[in-house]
Amino acid sequence: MSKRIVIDPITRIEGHLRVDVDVDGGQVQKAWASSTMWRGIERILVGHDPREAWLYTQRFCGVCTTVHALASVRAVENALDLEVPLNAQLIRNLIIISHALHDHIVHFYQLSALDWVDVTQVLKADPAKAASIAESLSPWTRNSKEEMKAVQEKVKGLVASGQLGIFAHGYWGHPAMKLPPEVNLLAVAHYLQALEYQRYANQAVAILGGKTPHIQNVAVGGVANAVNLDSMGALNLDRLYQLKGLLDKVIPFVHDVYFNDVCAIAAFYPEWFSYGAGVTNYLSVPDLPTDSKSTKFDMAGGTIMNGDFKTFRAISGPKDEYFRKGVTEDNAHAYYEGSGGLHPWQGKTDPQFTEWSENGKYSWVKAPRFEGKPMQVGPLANVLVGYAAGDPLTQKWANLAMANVGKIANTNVTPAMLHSTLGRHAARAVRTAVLADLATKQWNMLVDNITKGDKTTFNPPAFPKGEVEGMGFHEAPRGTLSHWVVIDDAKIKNYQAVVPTTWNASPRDEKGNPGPYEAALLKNPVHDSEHPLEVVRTVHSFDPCMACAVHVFDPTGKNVAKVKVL
Amino acid sequence: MSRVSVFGVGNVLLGDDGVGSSVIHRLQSLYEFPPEVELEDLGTPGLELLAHVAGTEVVIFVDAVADDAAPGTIQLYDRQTIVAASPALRVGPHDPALGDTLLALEFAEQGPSEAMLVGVVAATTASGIGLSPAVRDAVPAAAEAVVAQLAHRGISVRERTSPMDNRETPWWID
Repeated sequence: MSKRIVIDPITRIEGHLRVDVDVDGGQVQKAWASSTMWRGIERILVGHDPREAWLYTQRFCGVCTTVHALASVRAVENALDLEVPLNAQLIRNLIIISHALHDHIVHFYQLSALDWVDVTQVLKADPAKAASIAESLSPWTRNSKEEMKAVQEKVKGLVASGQLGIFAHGYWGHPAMKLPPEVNLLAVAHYLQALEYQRYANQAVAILGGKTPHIQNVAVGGVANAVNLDSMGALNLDRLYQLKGLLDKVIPFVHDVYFNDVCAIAAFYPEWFSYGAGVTNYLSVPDLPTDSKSTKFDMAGGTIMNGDFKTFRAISGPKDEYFRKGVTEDNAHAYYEGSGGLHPWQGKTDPQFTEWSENGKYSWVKAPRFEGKPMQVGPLANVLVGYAAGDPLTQKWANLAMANVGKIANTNVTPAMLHSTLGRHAARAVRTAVLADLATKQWNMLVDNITKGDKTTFNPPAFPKGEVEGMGFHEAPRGTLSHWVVIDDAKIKNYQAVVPTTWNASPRDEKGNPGPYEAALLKNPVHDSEHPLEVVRTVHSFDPCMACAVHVFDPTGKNVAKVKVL
Repeated sequence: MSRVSVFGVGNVLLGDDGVGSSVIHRLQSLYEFPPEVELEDLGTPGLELLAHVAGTEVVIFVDAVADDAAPGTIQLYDRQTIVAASPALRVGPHDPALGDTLLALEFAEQGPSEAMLVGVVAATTASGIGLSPAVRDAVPAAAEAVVAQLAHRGISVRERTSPMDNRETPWWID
């Protein structure tokens, strides 16, 4: 008999996520992803000065403040055809990279790792063996037997206290947990170290942005940082080396710890390379521009359809009509008026709330489509597109990840296996490793450009009479973000943000095609419907920007269990 | 590192959820604080809170809370209440981030020795800028509650002779 499991939030962080799945024969047969809170924040921007829109957009989402600030100024610059000085591009790029390093480290260790790591098994581990496994995988210096022993003692203390504290809500002892005790110990040791390294990445953002989480240095036309190597108040050599010092701490943590941990954990769950593919149309936009006109980028963009690399089509930049014309948003199953797809510049956000209805409207998330098709966005799209585009750094790290997992699991890992729940985690680690390499490259470019004597950081914007349209995109930690603005006589007339989680958590569209979460959950195993760890694994692999909780309902709708699953 | 951190949390674009940011703005605008006190409007940082809370000794959060009491009521919550993860208890709209941050840092031995929440009961958190009348009227008292908590810990603040930058209302409300 089919059982409905409802994953519904108890509290609100950046909007709620609700996932409903029908489970039969130990597998998910149908799934619905929905958001239970109306945002509609874009409407607030109508009538505002476009130069100030970024101040508001960076309040859309507290976790991704910088990304909405940058997409906003890029949209307005695009509408004005305004060039951005190279220094400003590079400063923005370093903010983008530092933010992404922070975000990916936190996502993996604080939010996702505990879907795979059983903290209670740490007590059974042999610290010496854990250290020797770690040393065989990585040159990281903080993997000693003493370090492992200390972490094990800490966990022992927590268990002895009778309260698991931060770990109180895990699926401990779940049959789907398969890591050896020593790998669990290693992961918990790195969970603790990650707390330290994510702070360095956050401090790097603050050096350039003035502070976090709401950076201060963004402006339509560039950045507000004054560049002067000899001035105390400006971005000088001292600050630049402070920034480098922080990045130089974070980079080895990414390459030697995070990347290796994902490979090692993945190798013990090879079956998860066959679940969770879902929508295999991928979209990623080019980012990290290296010229003032935004025509050259350090990260490639494009689309891949049906998981086939041969369909790769590049997106050359923000002026590329392939992207600008391809995006629509469909309200057929979203709580808004209308049904079919509207281009964001014509986009409307007029609420039409109904009860949650599996065949009708059921989500506050619109359904973005690209040339009418659902698309998966995020690190997996980013890595596959980079791979198909022949980006050497992406190929280097993706090949290394596949080789490492294959070696530990004694199997052959192919790019086709990346279309999966575990593939999304592996791709996030690959993307982070690539970004860590690019951090050094971009820092060098900035210092070179400044030492050549270029101090320009800002081109003043000029607004024409009448109407202009602009689009700014950014390949954010959770995937492709685009802001679309219509400006009339220097005032905002329409504003739409098509955000990564909207692409991935999209409901069905007019044609009934499910979004990526919904499709990825199909055929996922569920051992125990009261503890749907497998469902949580697939949802978390997308890195939803939401906190959620699990309520498990029996078919009569009676709430039989509640488990928080952050 | 600062000894005491006062963090406003909440979304200024979602009605009364912006009360934490408004209280921080009021404090910064009307008072001068000694260097060991850090004030920051953190918005809705989720787990980025880890980066801000790590290393502080005392953290005072200011946030909107969902509670049966009348909108605008100011309530103080202690650390134990913040970290109590019972789904039935909804301390603040930003739970579980507040509680999880404190627990994660406690495990890592990087957490504050003391944490509390100055909560203002919200009337509405619907999309839109600006506070409901009851919550707007509670902002001065919530700011004074923070000042009282600092005084209680031996930290005195000085009232400015005129508001900083002559801006008593925050930019997002104009």
